[in-house]
Amino acid sequence: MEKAKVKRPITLLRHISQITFFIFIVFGALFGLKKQHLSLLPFIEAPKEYGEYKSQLRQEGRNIAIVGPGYPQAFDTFLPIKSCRFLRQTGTFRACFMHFLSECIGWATPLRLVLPHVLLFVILAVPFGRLWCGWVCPLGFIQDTLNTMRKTLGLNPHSLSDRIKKSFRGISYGLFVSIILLSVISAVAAFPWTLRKQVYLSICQMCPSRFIFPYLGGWPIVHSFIPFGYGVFTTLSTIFTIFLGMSFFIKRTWCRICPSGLLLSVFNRGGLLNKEKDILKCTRCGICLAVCPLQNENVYLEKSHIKKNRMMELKRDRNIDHKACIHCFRCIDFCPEEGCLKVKFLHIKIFSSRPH
Amino acid sequence: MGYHLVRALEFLCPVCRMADSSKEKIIKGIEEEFEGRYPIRPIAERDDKIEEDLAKGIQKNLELLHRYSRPDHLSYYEEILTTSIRVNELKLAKEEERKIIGIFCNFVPQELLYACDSIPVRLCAGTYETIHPAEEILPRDICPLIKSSLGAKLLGLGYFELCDLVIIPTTCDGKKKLGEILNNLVPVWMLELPQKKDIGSAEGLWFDEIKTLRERLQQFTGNKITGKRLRDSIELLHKRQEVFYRLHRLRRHNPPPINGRDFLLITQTGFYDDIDRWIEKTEGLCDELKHHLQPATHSSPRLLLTGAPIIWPNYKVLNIVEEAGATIVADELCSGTQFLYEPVEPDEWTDEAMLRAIANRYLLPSTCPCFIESSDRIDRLLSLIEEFNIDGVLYHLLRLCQLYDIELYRIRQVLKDRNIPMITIHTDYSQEDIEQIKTRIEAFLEMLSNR
Ligand code: SF4
Ligand code: SF4
Ligand code: SF4
Repeated sequence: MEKAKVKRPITLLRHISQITFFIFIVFGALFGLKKQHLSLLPFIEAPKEYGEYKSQLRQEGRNIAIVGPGYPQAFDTFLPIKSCRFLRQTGTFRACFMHFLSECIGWATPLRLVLPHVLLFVILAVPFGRLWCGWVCPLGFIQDTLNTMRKTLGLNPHSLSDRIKKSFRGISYGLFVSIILLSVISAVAAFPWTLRKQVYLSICQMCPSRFIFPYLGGWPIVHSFIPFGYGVFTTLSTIFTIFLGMSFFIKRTWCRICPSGLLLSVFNRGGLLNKEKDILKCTRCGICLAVCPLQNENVYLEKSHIKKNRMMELKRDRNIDHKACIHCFRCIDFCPEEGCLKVKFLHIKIFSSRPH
Repeated sequence: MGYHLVRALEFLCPVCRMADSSKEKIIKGIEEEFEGRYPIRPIAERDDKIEEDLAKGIQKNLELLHRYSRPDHLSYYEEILTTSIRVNELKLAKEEERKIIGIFCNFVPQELLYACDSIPVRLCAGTYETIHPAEEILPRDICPLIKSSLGAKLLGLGYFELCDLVIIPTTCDGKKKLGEILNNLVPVWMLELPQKKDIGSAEGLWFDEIKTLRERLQQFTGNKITGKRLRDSIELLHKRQEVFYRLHRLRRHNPPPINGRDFLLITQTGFYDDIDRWIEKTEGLCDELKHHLQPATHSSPRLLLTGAPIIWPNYKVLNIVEEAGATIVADELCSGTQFLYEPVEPDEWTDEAMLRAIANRYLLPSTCPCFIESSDRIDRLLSLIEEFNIDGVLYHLLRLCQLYDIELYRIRQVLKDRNIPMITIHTDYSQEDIEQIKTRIEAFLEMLSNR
């Protein structure tokens, strides 16, 4: 009588979305999404004035075509996720937003060219926050795939202890700050040119995508260890790639330190997409915490003695958003209590947990 | 090959190892709990009179129930509870070398028991007649449930006699000490329950305890609990939970298609019965009930039952309440809704994740008063009150069960703040105070209808 129902509809949808976006972002060019075909699209163009950096390169007598508008990707848009610039042959988008930030600071690009992109970022990020991470990002998808492989092999997962989780968060802040600082250094003429050259575009130099997307996109790059600065960055990038590989055992290991994710997480609490928990309905069964790939305590502890002081509030529906949450909605998909966890957009309920 | 490669990788990865070092505790040595150097010699004669009385009590309950027009499917549950069909089945199963494992309370993971091909039977007893023999050993001032359960063993009644093993979690003091006495009669394992119910203990002590239990069960039954078997049993019990949930939700309807006694009867049949058959029959019952839902009326008050466990055939209070015209539409009894309500939802089907889900399910959502905090129980009551449109709360207290008694004050206060009437019934398994309870309940219902 009862029709067969999908047990985890949201997770299924998410997987479909991830796969679709992965193909779209990484292999868009294979479907004819080349810039020359789409030049008429009213997309915001990437800045083409490179300011002081360009003249320095000229002085060195170097060919600057490589940083010129020669990107073959279809859209000169910077997504708030890891859509890598090394997907030159096949990719759809120009690069990730962190790349853009670092690049613009480094070039001292005029504000009027930067602002449209920042605006676009805000428009993309405010409504959804880290939904981009859970549903769109190709690097996130790669990590999820690694984890699925482990599941299929039947190997036990690992989880991070609180201490390590905290230190990962620390690393992520440190990384973000140093990226900005290094970009500033590369822009300030007072520093010696050798240093500036080496720290230029540091995000790209240490990103784990560097070890993945160039090969997927058919445009392998050289990993250089000389001079010293490049060596440090390449080492870091290797370490981060190992982190990424570790998501075989620990879900989304890289996402815990990803600077793009950190930037997006600002919009998790302040954004339009929120999650709420009805603490009366919650039986404290702990399922939501157990299924969360990022091990967000908030989603569980909002009703727990650890947050006892908050229990004094009379409000029933508690906001459970967390910086690290990637809005994968697994918690909502798994929570067995009807109407206990809710997703709200602009305070309008979109969907909620239900028994299965 | 691939597996070993990955294992090696896992071993080499520093973060994986650091992350796990905290939880990788050595599984405790598998040994007997009790030394048994000073055994107790229980004396109890099998007494035909007691069994006669027992049968009489059961018959009385049934008579009262049969006054109502009830769904046809219910005869099955009555049959299981009142005849020896199931006992005979279990005897046959025993001959096939399957182990029968008796459990107490709501904390013994039945998934593990089913996965090692044994049959769990919940032994918490509700028979008044078996109390007297137990008083030879136990003090009089102890909760009737403990005495009744021990008495059943002393007299060698039904399910108790079949058990190859009894597993008791260390919940209240009574249960805690029951094990040592019972151990003279049947092997007993104790399951150490944390007193603090939080995610830390669930991942530490309790998780280790569950792991140890798995090891012990494997040794005891000689069946390995493989990932596949564990998954099968999780899915089986999940199915039972789903059916139960369906039944539970049907009671939201006004008037409820089934009264409180019948509902407990169904749940408590699940203590003993073959799980596949129970699922099948209950599914049938739900279909039947769904077709006989009546249009809304506002005649009888809807009550929420909470407090100390009420176990067949001790339906004294329920009989009085429902004969007086009220209906129990929801409960928070560990021998009722809480027994089957929570599902096990593993994140994925790997060993660790499944065990973790099992450990969490039996510890974290429990509303048992043996934990240090009662907020979860209060939350549960309030959400049931809202969900089931409750008019009043019936707080059942077994005399000498301190835990529920201590929580009473707080709950009374919370309900008073929200203007929800509550009646407290302090009683035990005996029939002596029926008239007194009846008067109080009638007055309470009167008050409800005047509101
Ligand atoms: S945090 Fe993860 S999912 Fe989000 S942008 Fe970074 S790599 Fe992608
Ligand atoms: S899964 Fe739902 S009911 Fe369970 S603890 Fe989380 S929010 Fe509460
Ligand atoms: S809190 Fe929920 S939505 Fe956020 S990452 Fe965890 S499981 Fe996903």
